[in-house]
Amino acid sequence: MKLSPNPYNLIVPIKPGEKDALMAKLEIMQDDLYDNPLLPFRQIKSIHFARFVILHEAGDFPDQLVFSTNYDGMLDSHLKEILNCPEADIDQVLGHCKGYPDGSEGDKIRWLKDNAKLRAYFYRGTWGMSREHIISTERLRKIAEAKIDELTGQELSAQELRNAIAETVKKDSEFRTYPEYKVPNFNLWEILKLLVIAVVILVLLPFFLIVLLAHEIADDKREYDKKYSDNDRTREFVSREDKIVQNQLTHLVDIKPGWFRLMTLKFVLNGIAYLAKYWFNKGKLGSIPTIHYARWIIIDKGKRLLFFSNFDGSWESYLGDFVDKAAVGLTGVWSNTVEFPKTRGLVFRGARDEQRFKSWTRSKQHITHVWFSAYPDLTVTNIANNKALHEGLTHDLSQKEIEEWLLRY
Amino acid sequence: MENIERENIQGMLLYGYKWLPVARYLFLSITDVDKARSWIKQVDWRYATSSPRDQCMNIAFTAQGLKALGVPVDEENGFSRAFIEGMDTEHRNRILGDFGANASTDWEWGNKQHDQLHLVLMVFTRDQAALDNWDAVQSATLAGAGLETCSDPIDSIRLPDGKEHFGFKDGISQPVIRGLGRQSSEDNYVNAGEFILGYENDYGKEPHSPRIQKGEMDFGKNGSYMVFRQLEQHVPLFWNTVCDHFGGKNEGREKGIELAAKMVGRWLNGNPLTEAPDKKIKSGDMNRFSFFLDDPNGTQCPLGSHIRRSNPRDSLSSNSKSSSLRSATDAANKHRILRRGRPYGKPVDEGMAIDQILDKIDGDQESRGLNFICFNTDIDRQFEFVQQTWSNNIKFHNLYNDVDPIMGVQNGGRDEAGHYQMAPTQFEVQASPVRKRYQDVPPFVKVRGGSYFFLPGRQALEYLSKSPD
Repeated sequence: MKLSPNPYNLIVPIKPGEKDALMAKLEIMQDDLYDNPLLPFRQIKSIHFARFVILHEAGDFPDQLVFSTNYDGMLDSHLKEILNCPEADIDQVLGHCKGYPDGSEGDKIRWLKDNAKLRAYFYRGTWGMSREHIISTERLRKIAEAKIDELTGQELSAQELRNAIAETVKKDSEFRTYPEYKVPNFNLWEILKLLVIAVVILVLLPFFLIVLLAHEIADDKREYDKKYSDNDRTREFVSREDKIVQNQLTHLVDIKPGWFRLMTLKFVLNGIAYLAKYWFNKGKLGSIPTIHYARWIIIDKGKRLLFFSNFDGSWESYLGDFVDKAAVGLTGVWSNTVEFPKTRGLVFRGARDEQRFKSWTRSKQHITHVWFSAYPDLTVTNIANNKALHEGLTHDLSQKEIEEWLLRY
Repeated sequence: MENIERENIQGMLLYGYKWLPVARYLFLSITDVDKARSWIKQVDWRYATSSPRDQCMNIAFTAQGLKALGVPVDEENGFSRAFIEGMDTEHRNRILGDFGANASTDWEWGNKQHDQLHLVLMVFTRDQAALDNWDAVQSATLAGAGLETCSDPIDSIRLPDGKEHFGFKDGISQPVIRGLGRQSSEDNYVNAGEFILGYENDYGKEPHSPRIQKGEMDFGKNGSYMVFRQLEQHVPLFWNTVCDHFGGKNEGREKGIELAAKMVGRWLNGNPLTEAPDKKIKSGDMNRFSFFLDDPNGTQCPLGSHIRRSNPRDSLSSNSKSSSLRSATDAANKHRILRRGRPYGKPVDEGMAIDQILDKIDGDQESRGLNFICFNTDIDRQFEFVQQTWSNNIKFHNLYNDVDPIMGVQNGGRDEAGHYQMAPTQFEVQASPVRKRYQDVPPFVKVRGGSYFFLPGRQALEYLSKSPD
């Protein structure tokens, strides 16, 4: 089974002197996400979420543009849709980047793939539903809800209600049956692989812990001590937040120097991506049900860690969930990056230092210059519920199942 | 267990002075700093070790007020961003629902234009005569104390049986501070540091707290951030709305009351809907119940009801395992607030009997509501979170498009002038076999004013009474 949707990340240096011009273009896009003349997202049917971010020059790193999407289908057709959209003029944007070809579509696709970081550590809250599937089931739910309103007071039985809803919804031209999608599952091969890895970990663990402790004690002296993040920066972030049901986070931080931290980070991220694929593949990361898609990308030759997330609800609630429900995993990742709150044993303390962790996150947060959501009024749990509502109309249900299904409206 | 320094904490934080039923809140501006300092010095401020019989005073300051007294209110000195910036900012208007009818530009006090608001003086007395007596003596004193009234004072009262103006028993669910000796169920205890600066919070950390003079002076210790919002309640609109769904307040009285109870999540007498759906008063603790185990689908107490949103307890648990229930409760407890509000204005019926209220609402024009006051040490994580992530969140508890039916506000986007408008809200009552929706629920509550304050502990209050050099 093909994984879906998938992450795409273009990361490319901006031509010297052209950053301001590029910023102006991004502003045009952000001001009118759906219909702007550069990339009118209304027309791009393969995109769930997308963002453009400018990473400003810092130390050895030049100004860079990041363009990231969560897309349906094959990468080539996704890129082709963006390049060929008659209402779009993406050349105007990408033309500010180093090496963007003037030539044929084939050249451009090659460039878009050559400059992409396809290795992202990725989490999906929703699996196997195309954008069209997500939007359509919401529309059908609204039709069903209106029908239920109409029937209120008629004292119908569960079976009669379902029949009436089915009759109305199935009349709609968008109604169709979607093929079954199965999320990846452990098989014998995966279990064997895990066993081998477990043995290797057990053997290496004592050595690892000794080296880790030495690093952690040294890091304590460099600990981030500023209690609050920079209010001016935070004000800029919040001015963009809480406009739709979802919010987003772009976060960029230097990885602690040295091979040990980089290796540890890669190991932890691989572990998380593995769990995200085989274990946390039912809409929740741990017990957090609000994350649509999230990814970590190691950039700049292993020097920096970039994090993108699309989530439901407020920043405060998202970060609170991190601390309350996922502190171990997140500390395991970010304790390998600079100025993170004091950590022990890779995963302890760290993010549990709640206010300091939140301040640290704000201090490493980065402006997202363009951010698009294809279904700005839907949460992860709404999407899953809509799917179940739709399946309740296409599958056979027992009396008890019908009763439970009706409670989902 | 940490020792809680009651003798250094202003009394209303710990006790609320319930036995002093009359209160007045005076909004004052400092016009003469030296005089104000010596006034602060000579007033007999009441701390949580005494139980004044007749009257007492507590005091809290805005960021402007502290600045006027020479305190460097900024992030370097550890003040919270919310307190520094105040309640009325573009972003906070958006998340707190202060637009449309609640627009801060229409507030009678506390908005950002009203920057002369420096402090609120809170007077609690045994009865109205004692308040009049206090007024006769003190108003002259205040004038000589370098203080000036900057907006009309608001009085508060207590209604019979601890009710609020709609007629429901209020103030039932309060967190209990660990270590103060009060008994409660285990999942209702919260660490002192959630409400009082200088103590461990529920993460086992001391909350960020202001320290001034290069960190030498612990300005926050035994203090708290105080949220004050004056909320007007439209009692006739509320009861007419719920009864009109069933043919008006005579014919549809009983069903109207039932719908109102569904909105609140409790019956008029305070019984939770999860416990006593048949209105029979059951003795025992009105606070001891489980949303998840007793009513996972909201068919008794609607998922979007006021009490489920204000404190979801274990409601957001993913399953019925005790570890999951526990962790849901622990997570919800990270957002508790200590409520110290009181009603204001003349009630529709002095006895607060529901039949009397319904009979008397026709043509009623009286202004009344709740002076909502709460304490917390992290305004973002506590008060603002409750307001944004629970009350005003249309997606709360996997719902699609509901807000708190009593006080929630839904954002309807910007109008032509660029101002956010309220959207019509709906209220869904879960039921078997299928839910019922009530559309176009009007706003029953209107914000008339509000501000963030800092309630100083004794040490900070003594500091404020002296010249900084």
